[in-house]
Amino acid sequence: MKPLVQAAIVLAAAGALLCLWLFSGVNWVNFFFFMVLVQPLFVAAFLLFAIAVVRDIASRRAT
Amino acid sequence: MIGAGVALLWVTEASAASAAPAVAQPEGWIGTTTQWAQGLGFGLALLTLILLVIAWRGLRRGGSVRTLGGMLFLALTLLPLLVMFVGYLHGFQEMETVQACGGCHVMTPFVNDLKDPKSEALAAVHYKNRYIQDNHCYSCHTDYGMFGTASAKLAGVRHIYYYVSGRYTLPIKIASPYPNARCLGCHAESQKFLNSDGHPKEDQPQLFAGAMSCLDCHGPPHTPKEAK
Repeated sequence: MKPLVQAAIVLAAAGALLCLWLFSGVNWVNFFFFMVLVQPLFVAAFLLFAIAVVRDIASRRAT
Repeated sequence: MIGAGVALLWVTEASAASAAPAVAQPEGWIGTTTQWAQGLGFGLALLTLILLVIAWRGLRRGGSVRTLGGMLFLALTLLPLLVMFVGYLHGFQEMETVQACGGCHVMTPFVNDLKDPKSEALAAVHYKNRYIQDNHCYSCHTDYGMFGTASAKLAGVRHIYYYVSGRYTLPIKIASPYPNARCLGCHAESQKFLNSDGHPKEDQPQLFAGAMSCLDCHGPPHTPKEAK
């Protein structure tokens, strides 16, 4: 489970950094990255986290 | 975290204040929506990042997904949603500014002409007399209504693609003839327009139908000096 969550953290951190860049002053470059990259990064992070949670619940039920 | 965002808010307000002569703000002034969105967004993004770092360290020190569940849920689900929402709100708003349109160097001559007090081009006249309060490029290059806004945003994405890929030719020209509806959206109901000798009653139907262009008499819209 841990590697999945760690990967999710890395992806979300990359998305949050891009957001910090956007909020420190919008220009077309960081807005372009926000539109194209941030959403997939956050969605991928959420999916990895969701998979880790489901696996955790499944393993708890199995034991 | 929110404190960091509010600090940024004050920095941006101070820099905005130094760029223009100080105008006394109304009683209880606490900044603009844009400044608050920027401050809030910055604070939320920073909070997300800090929670992620804490969660990462927790995992490295032997913590489990179960023990860190609440923090992970916040940092990987709830906060990113909020950050995205504020990011869209703030980003779309900021991309409507003249500064954003002038961000691509090919537009610099147009923005310089717009801001030139000596220019008599139609856009410059609107700018220097503040016929439009702000977002001058966007206001005149967007159709009215919901689809007008959407198509302007799509056009913006296309412009970024053309700019990045170099698929544009100089001099920059408007993609399609400028529609009168954009002028008439503001001017049509004004008495100055309706009763002007320059707009005789018999010609007005042609103007409203777009058979005669406003720019035929009121052009040129831009006189960019350095455009090649």
